[in-house]
Amino acid sequence: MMSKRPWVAEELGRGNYGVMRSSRYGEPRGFLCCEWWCEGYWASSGYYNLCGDKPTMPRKTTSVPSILRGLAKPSSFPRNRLLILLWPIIRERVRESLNRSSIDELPAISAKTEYVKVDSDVLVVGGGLAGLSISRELAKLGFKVVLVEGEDYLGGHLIVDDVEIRELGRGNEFVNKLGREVENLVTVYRGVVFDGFLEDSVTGHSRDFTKLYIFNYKYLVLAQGFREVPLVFPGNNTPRMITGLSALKLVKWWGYRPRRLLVWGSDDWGVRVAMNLAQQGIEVYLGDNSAIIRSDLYRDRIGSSDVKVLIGTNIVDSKDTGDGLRIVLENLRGRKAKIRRREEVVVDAVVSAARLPVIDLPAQLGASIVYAPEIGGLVPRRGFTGDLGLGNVYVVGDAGGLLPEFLVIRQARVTALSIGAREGLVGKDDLDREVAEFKKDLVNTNSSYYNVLLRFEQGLHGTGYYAEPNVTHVPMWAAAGTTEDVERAIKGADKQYLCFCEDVTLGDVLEGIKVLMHGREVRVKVLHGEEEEYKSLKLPSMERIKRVVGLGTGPCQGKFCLVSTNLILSFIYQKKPGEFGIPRIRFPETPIPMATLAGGE
Amino acid sequence: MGEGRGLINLSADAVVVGAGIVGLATAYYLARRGLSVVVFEKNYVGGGSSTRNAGRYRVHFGNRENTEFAIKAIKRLESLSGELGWNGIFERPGYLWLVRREEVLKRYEELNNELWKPLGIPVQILTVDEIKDRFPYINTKGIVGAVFGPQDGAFHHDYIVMGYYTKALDLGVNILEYSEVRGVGIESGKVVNASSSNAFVRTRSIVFAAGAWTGELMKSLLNIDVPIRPVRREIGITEPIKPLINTYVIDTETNFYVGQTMRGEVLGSVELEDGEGFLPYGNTLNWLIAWARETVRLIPSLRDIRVMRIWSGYYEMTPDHSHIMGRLDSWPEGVYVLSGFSGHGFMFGPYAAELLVKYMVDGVMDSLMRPFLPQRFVTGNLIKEALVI
Repeated sequence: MMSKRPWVAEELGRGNYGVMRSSRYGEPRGFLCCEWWCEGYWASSGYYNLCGDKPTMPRKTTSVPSILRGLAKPSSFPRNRLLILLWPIIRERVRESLNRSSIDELPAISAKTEYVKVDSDVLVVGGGLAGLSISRELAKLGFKVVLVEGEDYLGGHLIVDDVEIRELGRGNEFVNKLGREVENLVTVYRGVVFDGFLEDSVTGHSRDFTKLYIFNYKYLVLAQGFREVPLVFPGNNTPRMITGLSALKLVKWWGYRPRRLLVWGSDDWGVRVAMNLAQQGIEVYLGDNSAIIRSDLYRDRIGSSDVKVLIGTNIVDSKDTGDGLRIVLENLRGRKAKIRRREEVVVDAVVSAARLPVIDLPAQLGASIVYAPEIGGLVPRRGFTGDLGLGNVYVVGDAGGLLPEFLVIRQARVTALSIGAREGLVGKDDLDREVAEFKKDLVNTNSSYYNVLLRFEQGLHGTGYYAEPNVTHVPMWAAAGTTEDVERAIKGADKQYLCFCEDVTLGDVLEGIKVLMHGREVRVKVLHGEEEEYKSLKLPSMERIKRVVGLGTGPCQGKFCLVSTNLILSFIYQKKPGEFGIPRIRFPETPIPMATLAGGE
Repeated sequence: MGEGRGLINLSADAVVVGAGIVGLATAYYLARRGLSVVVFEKNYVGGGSSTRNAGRYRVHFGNRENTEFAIKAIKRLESLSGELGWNGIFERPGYLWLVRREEVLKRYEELNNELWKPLGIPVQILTVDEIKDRFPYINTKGIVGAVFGPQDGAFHHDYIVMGYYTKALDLGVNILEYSEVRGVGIESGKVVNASSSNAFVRTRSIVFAAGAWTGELMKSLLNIDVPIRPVRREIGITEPIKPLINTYVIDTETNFYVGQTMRGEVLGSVELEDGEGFLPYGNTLNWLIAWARETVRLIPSLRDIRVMRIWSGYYEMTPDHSHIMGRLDSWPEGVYVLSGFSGHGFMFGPYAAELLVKYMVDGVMDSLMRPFLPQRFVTGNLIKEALVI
């Protein structure tokens, strides 16, 4: 598990944060993420295995001449008259200047590749807490379970978590034990990526690209957990931004020793990331644009740790000083706030613990995705059992809504029993009892979960009870915590990057919307008496925005940006996320080499 | 059909069904002639085949009618960046047809001498050595020669669709998204209105530019037969790399094609012989493996490149693989069709729309339009293909 010290850890140790360059302009930029699903994102700039011991990167990093840079903004590039005029002359220059690898620089794929058929009763995707928990329950019921996990280890994000968790004890000890138990009960494929759904097959591939798996199953359980996404604030094009999970791995496994870090996001996980880092002797700030620490379970415990709290703030500006990132924070609600506050901190890096449920696979299947603010954004789930309403597909754990760990385990049991009931292995009474217990625990843990309960219980479709709410806050948009902050926050929209593959800023997206609205200015502040008109105003879908500015078209296929952007736009315009929608997410989940698909001859 | 209750009530000189490249261009050119236009689009703008294609154009066809049309249409297409104010990202890397049988190569040579050369668009017939020299990434095993059309090129579909969309809006065209056509009102043999899922429009003209859906729609709404059938084709794109593939390569035996986009992604497919009908917009492992194998076989260096995403779309096929434009006298007055482009709708659409508008507004039929009238399916005088390319 403690894989070899990655190349990138050496660079960070030397204070070299600008290792990656953006694909469009060739500037130092990047969101450091050492999880398997990030490889596609690096591929956009021609980098591979940055978190491996031997990375591959473009020999020559090119950069767009600064005169072109302004003209070539994703939003204005296609409409720039000068570029249209000069296009035949500058075309080749533009093509050559994009920061890509050449064909001979791509990592070589083994000459020996093969197809492997895998049969199961239940296929579980994801070997974190939820996936392990449900695999154990299903195995106990007698199902033949196959579990696939993209990482080389089991346990998900808890693998690097040493802080006490309610009912679990230390996270890493708990999942290590659970992982060993599950490996004795079910077939586990580590280092295998689940690709998604084709009409005639469901496939995956090994991360060394030597095998293409073809999966057969009666039931599919998606337990992909959450994903930490880039924070959006002025100056977030800094290379000094790391996911919480990667930061913990870098520090605990690979000896990365920063002096000072700002962790952003104060839900259970965010607080634990901060506490874990503080335990390692790092000076840690915990920031969030929420009014109070989001986590009910850890709100009181943070006081007894060494973490310095910067809750209730927006990041209004930032600048890389060469020796660190200087971040300017201001209180929420700007001048309207009772207590005015302005702070400056200089940190080695910002750590994003702002997380979203992983919805790629339900979206690939066309499942409806709805917004539930209490459990962290867009949640592809309906009903307590996690049934996606597609016949045989279930979602468990954080992928269906961010819940405290002990509830994730309970919910996994509900889903397992539900599958068991469908097969006649579990009585209906047993299932009902388990659901009732889960509900009780849910509401006892946090009264705001009562809304969640209603949304799931009454069903999201057809009953008329459920109305998707407007977006009330967006943790990853660190520049605006409340609606009062939005106007100021979008003033610096051109300095706030959304799409790290294609260098698309919030400013580009707002400009794209304006173009799609045929120049009609959509005001952020709605005046009294205009509400009705505003409500009926139809804004362009994410699909069309994507086609105008290129958001989400890079190799990460929108994993970094699509849901964040949807939430930020819904927040800005006070719309429901469903109104913007999510572009069709296409097969495969992460890129697969031609040689792996072609198979051994 | 009565007035539309609960629908948006509108009136317009013309209704266009479909907001793909063909429908948008038609609406724009109608509006430019001073007509008021409403467009019904059942999905979002460009949501059909207009944003699912490979983004390539050619002037070389296997018959005179299409080739002559293409020469004019491509000239028009290439002028669009300036006119629409959106960069079409045009370039002319050419088309390279790889040939695996001597007799096929001979047919190409004849076609060049009889058709393409006289029309001023000669192709280059290449030997295997010349292929190796100019396109060194190609595995020439089993190849006897190739045909290179330097006049053929590439564009970016999204920006051209956006160009027509914004230009049409500038001229006051009312484009209704998520508005599916539901009925056409006919009185005394004339169109009097058209309605959709959310709008009712008093109008005298309706143009069906609904791509693969045109045949089905005209049959169900007006009981008119136009032989347009959907054929689903799959396509895929890889991660971006530095420029490598400097043309658009087509294997004439396997129906494999591959090219590289401006951004560096390698785009291609192998066309398998199935996909009849409105199949879902999905993909198959069967195709994916076939595509990967052909890719690795023809361009071995691409074995290490990663497939980023795959999708599918419909060709709108007609019996003679040529589009249908205009109307028949037996149809109700005011009904027009512009569809059935059989895989070259994006390259022909803008020019065809211009010609159709000229016909609708001025009653003038361009000689280039004549071979593509729906009349040919009544008389049986179909367009003959000397060589399917």
